[in-house]
Amino acid sequence: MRLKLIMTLKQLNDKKLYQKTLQQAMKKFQLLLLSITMGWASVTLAANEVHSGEVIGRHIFGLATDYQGDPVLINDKPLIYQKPGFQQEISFDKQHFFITGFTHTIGGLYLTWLNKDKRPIDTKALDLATIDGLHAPTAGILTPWNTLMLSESQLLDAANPKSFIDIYKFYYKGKASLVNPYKSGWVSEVIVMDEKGLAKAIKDYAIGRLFAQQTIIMPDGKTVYLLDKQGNLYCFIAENANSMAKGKLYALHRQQQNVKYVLLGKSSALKNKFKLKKIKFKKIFKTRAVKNQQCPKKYHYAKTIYGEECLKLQRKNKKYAAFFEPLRILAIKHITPFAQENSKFNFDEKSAQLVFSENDGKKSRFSLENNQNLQSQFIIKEPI
Amino acid sequence: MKKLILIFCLGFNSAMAVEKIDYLNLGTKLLKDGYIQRAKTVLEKVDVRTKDFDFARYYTLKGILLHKLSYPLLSNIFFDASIQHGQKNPSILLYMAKNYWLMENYSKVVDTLDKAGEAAKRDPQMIVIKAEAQKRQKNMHAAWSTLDEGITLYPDFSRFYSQKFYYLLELGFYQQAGEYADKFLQSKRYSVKDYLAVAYALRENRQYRAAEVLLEEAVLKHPGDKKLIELLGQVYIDQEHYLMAALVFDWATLKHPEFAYKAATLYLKAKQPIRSLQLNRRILKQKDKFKQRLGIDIFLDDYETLVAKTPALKRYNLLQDDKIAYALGYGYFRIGDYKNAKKYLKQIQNSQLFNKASHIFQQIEKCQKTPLECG
Repeated sequence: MRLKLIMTLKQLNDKKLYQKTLQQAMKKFQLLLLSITMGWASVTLAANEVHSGEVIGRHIFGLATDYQGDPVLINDKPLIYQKPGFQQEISFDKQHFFITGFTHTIGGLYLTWLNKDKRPIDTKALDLATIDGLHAPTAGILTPWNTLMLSESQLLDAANPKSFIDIYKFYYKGKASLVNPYKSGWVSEVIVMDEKGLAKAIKDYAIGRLFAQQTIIMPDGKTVYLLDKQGNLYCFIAENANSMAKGKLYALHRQQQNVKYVLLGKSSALKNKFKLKKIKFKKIFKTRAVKNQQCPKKYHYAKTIYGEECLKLQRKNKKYAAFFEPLRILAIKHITPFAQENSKFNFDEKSAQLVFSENDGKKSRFSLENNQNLQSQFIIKEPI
Repeated sequence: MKKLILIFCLGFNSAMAVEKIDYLNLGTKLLKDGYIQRAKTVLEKVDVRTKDFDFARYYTLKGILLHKLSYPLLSNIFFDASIQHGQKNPSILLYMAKNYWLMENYSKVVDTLDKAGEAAKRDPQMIVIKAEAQKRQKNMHAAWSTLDEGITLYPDFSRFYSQKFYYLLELGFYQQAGEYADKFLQSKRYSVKDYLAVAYALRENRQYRAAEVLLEEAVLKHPGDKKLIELLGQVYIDQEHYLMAALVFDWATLKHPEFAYKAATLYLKAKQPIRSLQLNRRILKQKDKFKQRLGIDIFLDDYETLVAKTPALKRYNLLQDDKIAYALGYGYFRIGDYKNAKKYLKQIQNSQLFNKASHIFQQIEKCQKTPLECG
């Protein structure tokens, strides 16, 4: 039914009619979501429903576990998270769960079984070994394909990862050589696969290592907008709906009244994951010191949150650079932040607009429209 | 066809006969038998969501499991949970006390053992732990009383006495500590380990005389133990009584020939070169023997004998050692064989020895120019 609606939408060019149809589609889509048997209940519950360090069912809730499923020991003391960072309820058939995220350098996720009265009866730490753990995961959103999407938003400079390695090595039982800063900063998903609580976490490597603080998935299940702390806005357009396995990544560049979608690259999760195994900062860039904002020949001057650098892209990894080092690539391409630092954004379903709220309360609205070239119905037209 | 039906029936029956595994009981058994990792896996599979589940038992098992896996903090979280679910067995308090001990939370150790009551007194080890925890809280009076109580209950448990002995030493009551050691260590039941522990403590507190007496007694009781002999010798060396130390090792060489080297060195230090030579002959390792022999020759000013060992030193490849080369060069210099002296002194690489050798070179030049000025 949803596909039919999308097909109809594609054929429509008239703006008014398009908006009206889009609103109807959104309503139908919401109803559709509610009617799915395996549905996420989109209620974010108070994080203090369950206390960290309490025994629930078989385990201690909020105990950090390492890559082998053992407790994380920092200086021989087990790490028990102070309090949950976010909590989301999810149902599978008649079984209700909480997914709780712990925002710590060595982050963690807990799946908690709830009884009919929605009281916690059992809990377990999700195995994050397959995704090399999570670095400070932040608030998750429910996806139209019934998973919880979360992001590692804490910025991490892969050129100077020492302080990160010093802490994160405890995830690998103190083995610093196993820590790779490029394994952090991605968008992740938690999938609950049955009512018994079989669940797994995956990383959406195709989207890029964007350190997104906010993510919005458009109703088509293909277009995803991601905003980082610095105000950089990205748009990932997946090849197929409800799957982030392949797609194109764009950075949004604002020049007065125009909004440009600058293509950063096309990739797949599999390719990026494979590249991740051996990637190092030096394999992406050659660096030189900056002198009076000048760089040697063939080197690009880049000023980012990491500082001033002279960067030269290594030819071999050129096509992967934007996925692993988006901030440096934006600087090289002279793409400035789309919004102010720490801005928030949301999708206004009624008007089909992206709304940015800045720190001073000022709001900017952007209409979305169908774009054949970008193969998405949710492309920013212009600011209103 | 009949066969097929039979196979089908058998298969169906066996499928029906699959029993539900009781993971809780299986985990208990594995834990009891010491299969910790297997118990961990099995206890993970327990379905705690069943009606009237025995949480008290389950959490007790998890507490024991984590205690054995050396996670004291986590173990106690589960023990607390088991108590909340009605666990009344006081023996879990003993585990909890051990966990607090590992976490160095001494006040909790004492509180928990007090809570355990009689159960804590059934194990003499727990009484020692309690006394030690009280001591670490600087409550020596309570610690002493706890040990007294322990001695009343288990007069044969030696840890109580050694513990008291250490407390006396730490408080500086050396006289009483010595008396205490005499009183209790004379008993035959004390092992080499006990003697060593007490003697080490006495030596650390510079109670050399007491340590000597104790170790001599121990060596006579346990003549086969090398550590006792070594410690006794060391106590004499600490006091610079080299001859006494040499005599101890000399005596020990009858049973332990490897002490000959030490004994010879100590005789030489005690200015007894002839005895040193006698012991040197008993050294089994030829390299050590020749090295030491050079030292004795130098001590005896017997440079002819020293240089006569040149072929042997070459044979054992000892001239690679700068110290040996220097000694040999010096030996040749002393007997007036300047050519050979220069030959061996030239090969020295070590900077300190090279400086010394250059002085000898100057001396050689002097002697060659004006032989009469040379002594």
